[in-house]
Formats: sequence, structure tokens, C-alpha cells
Amino acid sequence: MAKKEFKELVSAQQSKVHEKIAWRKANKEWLKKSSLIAINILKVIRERNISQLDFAAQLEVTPQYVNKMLKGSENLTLETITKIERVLNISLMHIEQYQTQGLYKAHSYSQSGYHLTRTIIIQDEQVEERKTFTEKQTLIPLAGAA
Amino acid sequence: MRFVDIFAPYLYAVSFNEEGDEFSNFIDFLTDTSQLEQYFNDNKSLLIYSGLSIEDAVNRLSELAIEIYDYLNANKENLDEVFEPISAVAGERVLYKMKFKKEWIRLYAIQIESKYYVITGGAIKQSQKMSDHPATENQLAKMEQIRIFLKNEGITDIDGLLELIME
Repeated sequence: MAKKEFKELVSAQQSKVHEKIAWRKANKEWLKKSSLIAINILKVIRERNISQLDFAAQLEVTPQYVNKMLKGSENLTLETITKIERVLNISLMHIEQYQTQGLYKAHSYSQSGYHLTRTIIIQDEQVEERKTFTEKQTLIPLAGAA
Repeated sequence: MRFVDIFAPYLYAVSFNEEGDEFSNFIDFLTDTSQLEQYFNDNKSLLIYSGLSIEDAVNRLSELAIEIYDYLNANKENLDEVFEPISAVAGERVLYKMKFKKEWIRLYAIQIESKYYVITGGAIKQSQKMSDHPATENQLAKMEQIRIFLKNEGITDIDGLLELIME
């Protein structure tokens, strides 16, 4: 048997591993999050003695979907995550409020004017900057205002 | 029993059914959160000794799956440098039982001849001796079963394997 002929034969029977690895590389970031969510769910259902079958029923999805989800390879929607959080009464995602920078907020008024503060970043640290605007400097009238 | 191309003409994997092959199945295991969570629950000592959380361990194994694949691909022409005999006593001087080690991972293969290998499976290594843990003991038994199959078919070199595949 010539090696050349063999190469032709095995090329038609290539392992599925190549496409699996390529897919994992392309989706690495969200797969990590999906796996962390799966571990949290697995810990909770194990601790509370909930079977995957019961969990699927509570979630109103098929056991096959739960199985896939718990493999940590499912791109879960926000709707599904929220439903899991409600069914298990746990938090799976925490969204930090983004702090808007650079916009002044008026917090008080005195005879000297409006006292304003804003948060700015100096060398990676959040710093509160204060400023007072006199009435003359303020404020551009809103369109249509008298 | 079939032999599928991993990185032909040097590296192949055994396949027992149409579902997949032993290398692909092992990569599936290393990237399956549910199976790994169960595995670490059944084998808590691995986490205790490593000091890793289950989250970190699962993540590391999924990274290792990709790293092993990339390493084999990069070194496919030098597999004699990648695999080593599973024990100091190599047994018969044909169809060597070999292993590849990376952290917790052990990949098992039969050397058909120098440079040519067939992957027979993989496991997470736990104990000093392969036969001390069910997962690695199972791999050892499977490797022997495949070695005997190849021997009975008269396969002692890569041309022999090619003929077997063509039948």
C-alpha cells in the first residue's frame, strides 16, 4: 500500500476535532462566561437536590436544552438567564452602572452661585471636581424659554 | 475499529463508532463543564492539592484542550519528541504504549513505528500508577486492547496500518 493512496483515503475521514477547536477559539470569550454560569447552576441544583429533569420542567424547556446549557457551550439569551435567575432565585449576572464622566451636576445654590461637582479620572483614580458658577455665567436658556 | 486522520500522515486516532474518535471525544470531555463538575465532585483531592477552585480548574482544562491540539499540530513532524513510553519497562519492542503529558492531562497513543502514532484516549492523571485510578486504568486496558488488535492484524509498521485501513 502506497502512503500516497492512504493519505487520499484518510483525508475523507478527518476527525471532527479540527472544527471543534476552531469553533472554541472563535468563541472563547463568551464560552468562558457560559461555563461559569453552568457551574453556578450545577452547584445550586446539586445543593438543593434538584434533578436536571425537574429543572428543565421549571424552566419550561426540554431536558436536552438543559443538558446542552450545562455543558457550558450554549450562547444563552438574556431572557433565558433572567428566567434561570427567577426559577432558582439566584443572581447569575451583575451589571455595574457605568459612571458618566465629565458632566457637572448642580447639588446646591447659594448667593455666590450654583455649586457643581463632576467626577473625573486622574491617573486611574476617580476624583470629584467642584466648581461654582455665578448666575451671570449660567445658564444657556433652554430653547423656547422666555 | 477505524483509524481517522488527526494530522496525517503522522498522527491518527482510534474510532469505535461513527460518533467520533478517541482524540475528539477527549477534547469534548475537557470542554464539557457538566462532566468536569461531576468529575471534580467525585475526585475532590485534585482540587484540594492544586488549590484551584472548580471554576479555575474547569477553565484551565478547556484552555489545555486548545493548547494540546496546537502543540500536536506544531510538532506533528516530530512526534517522537512529544510522546514517551508509559513506563520504564516498555514491553515488546513493537507497538509501544506511549503517553504525552501536560499538567494534569495524559494523552495515550500506540507508536506504530518511529514518527507514526495512533491516539487511543486521554485522561486526567491523578495517581502515580496508571492502574491506581479507574479513569487511567480504563485507558490502560483500552490501549492494550488496541495494541493486541493491531498485533493480531500483523501491523508492525505504518504501511501495515495503511493496508488495514484500506481493507
